[in-house]
Amino acid sequence: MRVTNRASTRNYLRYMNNALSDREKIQERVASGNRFEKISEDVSSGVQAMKAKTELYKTEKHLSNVSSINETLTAAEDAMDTVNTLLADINAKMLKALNDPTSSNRKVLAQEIGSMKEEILQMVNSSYNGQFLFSGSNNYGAPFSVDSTTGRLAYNGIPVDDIQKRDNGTYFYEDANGTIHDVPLNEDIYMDVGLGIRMTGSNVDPQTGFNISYSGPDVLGFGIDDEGISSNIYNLLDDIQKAVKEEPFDDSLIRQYGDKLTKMTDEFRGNLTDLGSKTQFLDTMENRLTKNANNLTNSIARYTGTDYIEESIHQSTNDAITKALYQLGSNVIPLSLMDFVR
Amino acid sequence: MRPTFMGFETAKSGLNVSQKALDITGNNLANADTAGYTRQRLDVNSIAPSSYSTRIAVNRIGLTGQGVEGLGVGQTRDAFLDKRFRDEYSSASYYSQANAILNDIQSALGDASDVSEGGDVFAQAIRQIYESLNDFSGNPTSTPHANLVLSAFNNATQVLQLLDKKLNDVADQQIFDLGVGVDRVNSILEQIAHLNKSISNDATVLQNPDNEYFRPNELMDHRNLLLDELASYGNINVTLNGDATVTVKMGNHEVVSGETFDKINMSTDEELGIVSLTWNAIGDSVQLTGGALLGYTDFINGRGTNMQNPGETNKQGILYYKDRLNTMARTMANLVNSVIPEMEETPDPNNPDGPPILTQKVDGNGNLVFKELISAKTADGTTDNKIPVTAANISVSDLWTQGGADYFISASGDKNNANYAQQISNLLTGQAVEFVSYGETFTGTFEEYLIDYTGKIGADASFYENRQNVVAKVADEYLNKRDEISGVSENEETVNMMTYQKSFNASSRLMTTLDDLLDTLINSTGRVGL
Repeated sequence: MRVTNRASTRNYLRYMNNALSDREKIQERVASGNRFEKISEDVSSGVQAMKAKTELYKTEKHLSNVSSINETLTAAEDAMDTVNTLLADINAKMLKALNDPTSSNRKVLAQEIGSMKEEILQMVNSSYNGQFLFSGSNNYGAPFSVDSTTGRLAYNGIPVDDIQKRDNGTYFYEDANGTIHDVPLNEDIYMDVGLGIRMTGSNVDPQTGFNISYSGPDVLGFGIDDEGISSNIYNLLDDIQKAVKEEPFDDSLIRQYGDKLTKMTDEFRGNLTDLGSKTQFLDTMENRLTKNANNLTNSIARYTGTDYIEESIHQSTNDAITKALYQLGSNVIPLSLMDFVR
Repeated sequence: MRPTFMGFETAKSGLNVSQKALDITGNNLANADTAGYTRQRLDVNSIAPSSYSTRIAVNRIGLTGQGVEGLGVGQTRDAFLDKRFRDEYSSASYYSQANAILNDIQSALGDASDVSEGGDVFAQAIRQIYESLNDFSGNPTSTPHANLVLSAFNNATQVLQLLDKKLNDVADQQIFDLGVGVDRVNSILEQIAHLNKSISNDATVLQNPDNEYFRPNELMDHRNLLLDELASYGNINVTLNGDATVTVKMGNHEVVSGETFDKINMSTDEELGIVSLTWNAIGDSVQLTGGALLGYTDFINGRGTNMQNPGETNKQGILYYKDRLNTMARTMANLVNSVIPEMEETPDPNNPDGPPILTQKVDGNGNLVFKELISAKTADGTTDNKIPVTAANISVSDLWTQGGADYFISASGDKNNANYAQQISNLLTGQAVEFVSYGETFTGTFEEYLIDYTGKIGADASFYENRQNVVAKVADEYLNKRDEISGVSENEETVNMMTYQKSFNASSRLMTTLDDLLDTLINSTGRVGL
């Protein structure tokens, strides 16, 4: 083999360039904290990192959904708690009316029941963070209103006594012509809390989303029972208020209303407990999602992050190689016979 | 009978040849690092005494020993290594060009060029859509939230437009570079033809026809250097002719023969984005199997399995990646535009005098009409849903832009918008949908499609980079082998220097000895006893 200067210097420069570009890459990895930048440098890790990042942002969004739902739920719970206390008070007032049916006393009690009734109306019309708590999908205005002539309650504009429920849980009413309509703005609203939303057309599978709409009729009751008594708490209280101050005092009617109120209060408490269990479920979800987010952050770091121990070893190796190359470079053109002839 | 003064001629020839050999040694040392220089050597042989020119047969012994003569200055070069090197160099240049284009594509697509947080260009846009739709579905009647959805879609369409523009820039740049390359090839071909002429007219060739050893070495070196460069543009086949000209075939087409040469014409189809190279003389398209020119055309015209038009190649090049971007834009528009029903008021059939009821609009063909959220932007700046949506023209529809939040949230009856928002979000990020390009389909979510797209350019770029590295190593090996033969070695030249110096000294010494001999012969002959 003939060794020529031209080949030696060319090869030497190539070695040197390789070593220096390796050095550059190590420095970049250490400084940026990323093991690579272009996906072509490590396709499989890059693709996995992209997938994990997609999962991560969704998980983070689920987490923020859960905490905002939780806040709204707590506000709803507070409102319902207040209503619950009021209902207990009203029950006590009714008993008082039965035990002391003097006309003046009953008038005062009717007055008190009336103002408590208004307080309940305010509670169910309350909003949190710009959202009405018991309005179904309506956020244009307060869901409950009272007809100024009849004094009866309407939900999203529909008298609650006219509202009926289908077996599938949706609400409807009959208009004056006997046509059946859905109660407007009372759709279920589902939010994605990481249960893997499944949809059929525009309908969310209720098993896969979290229903954040609380329909007014669910909370306060709707329709009229077989005995012709309103199954809505507000309207019932309206009836009770009237009956309490009614002359002559109808003892049995008050008792009938009282029984009805007890039954409705029980239902109402059932709803309240239901809300509590929802909050608990959300807490569990929050824990799970937080764990998922942590795991995903870790795997992203594993896929794309710099392994500093490995890099420091690379750096030392590269240092040694570069030093050796410099040394080699100082006599890359070796002594030749030329240097020895006189 | 030996002529009396014959020895002086012998000594003189030795002096001459040694001096010339030293000249060549000097020339080698001086050009040790000259690009393309091939080591030269003086070829010599011993002078043969001729006997047949005498009228009568004579004993030849008297005439032998006439010294040395220089035949010519030759090059040490191996044609086989030249061929192998050029073949590998063609391959290496092809892969290098392919890698350069794919790298440019990769750089244009932010999601691929920076896998860390900063580069998520389109992934970020999808994420923004997802988040805004999610927020909106929690607040389905809120105008600010509906506006955020609008701006998220605005952003996503603009990102698609930007990516498309960047891919166009890559194509423009590569087509420009190809033009420069074609000009260079044409100029090389012309220069080789001119060198053919100069070389075949050189005195050394004219005097030694059919002698492949003694040629105008410097011109030959220059021509070889040009042939090496030509090999980087396309696979070539070089044949050396008796008159020292070369015949060069590129692909299978003869491009240089003697003093004549062909050239390449380049044309671009602006609309299809296809470049084509044709031979000037015959008009046929340039067919190559290696070299940078093939790298350019393969990947500028590369449309993978989506090939539609003549001139396109099955490589996954610029056209392929543009196709897939268009598919992404079109699919997005189709999905988003098939969710929210367009409602209209019609009289209630049960109660013609009563209030009208809201039903979904039906077009002339009996198809249900949906709200058009995404549309194609025309040259006059308005959107038109009759034009197919591409990545270049995708835009939020004028209806949505002008209608603002109201277009998105109202007039859909009492069916709530949250579910539509949830549905759009689900279609774009959760549900597997079908992406149909011309020849290939992909089924998966939008994000999976993006990951597939990004992964593909990464895999392609990485494949061609690896190929380039491997082939370049082989080419380097041949370069080294060629230098082993043709390069200048200092040791060798020093040895030559000493050899020729000694030989010169010896010849001088011979001259002195002969002088002494003649002195004895002339001055001392016949003077016996004096």
